[in-house]
Amino acid sequence: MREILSAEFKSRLEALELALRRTLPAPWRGERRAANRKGISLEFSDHRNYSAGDDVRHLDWAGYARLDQLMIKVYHDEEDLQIHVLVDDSASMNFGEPSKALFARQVAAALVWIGLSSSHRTSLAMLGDSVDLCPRSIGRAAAPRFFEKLASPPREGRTPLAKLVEKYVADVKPRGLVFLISDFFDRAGPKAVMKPLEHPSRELNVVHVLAADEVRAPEGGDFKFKDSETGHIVEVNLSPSLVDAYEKTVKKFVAETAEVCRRRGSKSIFVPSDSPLEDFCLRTLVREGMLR
Amino acid sequence: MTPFLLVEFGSPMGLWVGAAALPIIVFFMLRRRLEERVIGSTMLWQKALEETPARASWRRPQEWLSLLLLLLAIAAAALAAGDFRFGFAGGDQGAVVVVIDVSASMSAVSDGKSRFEIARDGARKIVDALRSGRKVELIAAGLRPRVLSHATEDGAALMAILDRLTIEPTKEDLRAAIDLAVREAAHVMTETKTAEIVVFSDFATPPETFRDLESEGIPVRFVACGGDEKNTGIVQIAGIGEGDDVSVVATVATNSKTDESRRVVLLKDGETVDAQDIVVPADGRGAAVFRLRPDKSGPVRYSIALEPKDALAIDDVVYFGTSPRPPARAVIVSEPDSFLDRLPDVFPDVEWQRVAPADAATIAAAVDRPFDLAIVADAVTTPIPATRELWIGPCPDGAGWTPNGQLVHPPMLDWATGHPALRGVGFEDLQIVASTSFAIPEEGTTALVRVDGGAVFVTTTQKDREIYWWATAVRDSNWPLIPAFPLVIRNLLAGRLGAFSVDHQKTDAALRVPAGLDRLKGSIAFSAVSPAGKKETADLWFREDFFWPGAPEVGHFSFTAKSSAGDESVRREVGVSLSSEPETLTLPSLPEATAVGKNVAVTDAAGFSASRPLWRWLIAIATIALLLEAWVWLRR
Repeated sequence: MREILSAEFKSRLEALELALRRTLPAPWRGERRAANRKGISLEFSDHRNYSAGDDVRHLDWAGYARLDQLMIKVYHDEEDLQIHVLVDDSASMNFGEPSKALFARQVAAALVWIGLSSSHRTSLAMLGDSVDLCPRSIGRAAAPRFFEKLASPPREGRTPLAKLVEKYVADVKPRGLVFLISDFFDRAGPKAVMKPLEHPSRELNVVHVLAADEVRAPEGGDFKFKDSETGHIVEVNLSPSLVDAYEKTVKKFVAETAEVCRRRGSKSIFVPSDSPLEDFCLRTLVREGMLR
Repeated sequence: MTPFLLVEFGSPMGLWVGAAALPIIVFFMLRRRLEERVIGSTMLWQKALEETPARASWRRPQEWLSLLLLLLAIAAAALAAGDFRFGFAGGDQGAVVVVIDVSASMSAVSDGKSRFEIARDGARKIVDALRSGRKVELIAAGLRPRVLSHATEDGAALMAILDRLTIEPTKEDLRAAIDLAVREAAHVMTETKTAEIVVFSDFATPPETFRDLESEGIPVRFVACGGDEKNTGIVQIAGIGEGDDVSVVATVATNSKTDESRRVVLLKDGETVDAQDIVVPADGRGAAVFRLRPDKSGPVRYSIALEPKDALAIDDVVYFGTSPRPPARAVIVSEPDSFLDRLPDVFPDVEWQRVAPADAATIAAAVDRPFDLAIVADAVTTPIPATRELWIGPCPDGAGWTPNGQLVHPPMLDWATGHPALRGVGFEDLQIVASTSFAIPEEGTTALVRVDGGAVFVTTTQKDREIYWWATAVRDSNWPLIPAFPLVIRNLLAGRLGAFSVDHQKTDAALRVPAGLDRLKGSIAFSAVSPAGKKETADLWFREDFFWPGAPEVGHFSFTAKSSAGDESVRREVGVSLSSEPETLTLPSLPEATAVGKNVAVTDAAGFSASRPLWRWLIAIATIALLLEAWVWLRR
């Protein structure tokens, strides 16, 4: 079976860390924290580069004065981080060249690898017709199990994504850093998908994936487009005006998803599925502050 | 009768154009089978379509509209190419008076069809529309127009008449035929309220000649039949005979714009005996002269033919016959005159008789048949009967002329050089001492020679004789001293000189032969056989003429006359030919479809139809449909 990530890429990923923009309460201290809030001391662990959205109270001003570089102090609680990677495994993801499903799974694999390499408690959920969970694990030794699931054939599920996310949250009650990789083709809209994930104990990062063929309309002609999930058929005659309207609709859709994320304090990044994976993971995600 | 729709297709081209619709329909149906693609989600496409609601709502019918417009354009183009014609025929549609030119030029053939057949097909189309209850009358325009059928609804009878109708080997009198049609149409309109006249002809007489029809108020359509066929034909033959020598001159004319080469062949009793190659100049004339060696024992059939024949073949051959005949008879009535007395020496083949004026009455009573020529130089009270008379000097009593007095030294001004009596005659050296000037009656008399102060040589035709008057006494001019006088005598004896007669007649006149051929006397048993073998007989008196009933055919007619006085009989061969210049030379350029007047129009036979042509409307429909289709396509 072909490796979902190459060995070289994995070694390069090991240099990266998953980035938190704010401090999340540790789960076993939640009650004590609530009761002894002022008395909690967090043990300093390390620095990392500042990213937009980080809590400015943790800026290391001394370090800034010294190095003229903005850095955030990392505490132990951050190190002891839960990572939840949710991958949309619906039928609509299995579209495109390369398919969105493949790209999403590869990005998920990269995030899982970073999480496991960083000794974070990492879990994976494939959202097809049901929630297919790969339970929390720590350490690289658990990676093959995750990779095997990610390398399995797509499920092409037809259950609405919002319902699956809702079920996942109800079952797992995730805390920590949550990555949701999806095309957001849910007729309920991105709001309905992300709403269950809204919680102070979670920080949500969204990777919005669309196929290159979905971003740009095909060459002119007459088509019957059939929805891979619902079977709904739309007849189109690709006149210039319709092509223009479609591309505007795509842009609006991507912008709407990003706006929903922004309003909820989440981060969102849009990527076509034909983007180079390594470039996306090593540079784009770092630039956007999801990795460091 | 109930009205019905008259639909015609003039050309099969429409089928080919209409076949273009098939691949278009197939292409459209194939295109309608849209490519189906499974995509991730149709969610965004639905939203995009909602962004363009105005176009989305009519997108599907738009494609069908596009197909319908294209099919409409093809259908209209196919109908136009197929020369679709539509006529609503029915009810009280009035009458149609159809005039068909049956003259000889209608036999001209082009593209395998004669003009007459084209005309007859056009008439059949009109008769074919009779199912509507319309009446049709048929008139044939030949030498004399005749009604073939009065206005009738009986289509079968009309068709039978058309099937039997044939061309006549004559010229047509189209004017008379149309006048007849106008009278017939006016009569029919007392019953049918409306009528129109349709004339099928090749228009040797141009349609513009009939502009006066405008005032009749009856719609007239001239349908031009045939094409611009050039024609070369024999327009005239003339026999020249002196003594035993007979020559025939055949004049060939052409309306071609280029020189025409022909071989002119002389046939005797159907066998070729001589031939000449001639070149007829463009739009001009040429001639071939043949010397004949007729048979003295009896009549001989000759014909002269052109090779090769052309589109109009009837004028490419002429027929004539030669027959031995007795010498011409002439009488001179005058006191002794040294000049006139020499005429027998000048014309030794003529039987001359010399009569003193005092004996003229006696001779006139004794003559049992007219002389061929009587020359009267002194006044007589009783003219001696002759076919032609030449009076020299005084005007005969009872001629109805009024002499105006003496002309003294009248200078010569002009003379009718084209008249047969003056053929070859010149008066340049004429000197007149004294002459009588005639007051020319308004009708019936022609002045052949004029001088200052009046005419000096006139002619008139009375029943059975031609009379010529020369207003100067022989002694009062130098006429006998110049060649003019003998030439006039020769011309007046023309056709009677020589041992043989050259018998030829044209079809534009009734065939007429004197019953007393070659001086047979008493009652004559006369018989004639036409070229087709039709026989006619008659018992006639020797002074009577035999008329062939109806229009003569082209070819050789044989006549036999047997006298009851004795066993003498005479046979004569007379050739009848078209040789009518209006029919042969005037093959018209067909006029373009044009309105000669408000009521009078000209169309081409190829475009003639009893129904209305619709190609203009159809082209307009096709164009509009294509423009709409283009607009629909651009709006997509």
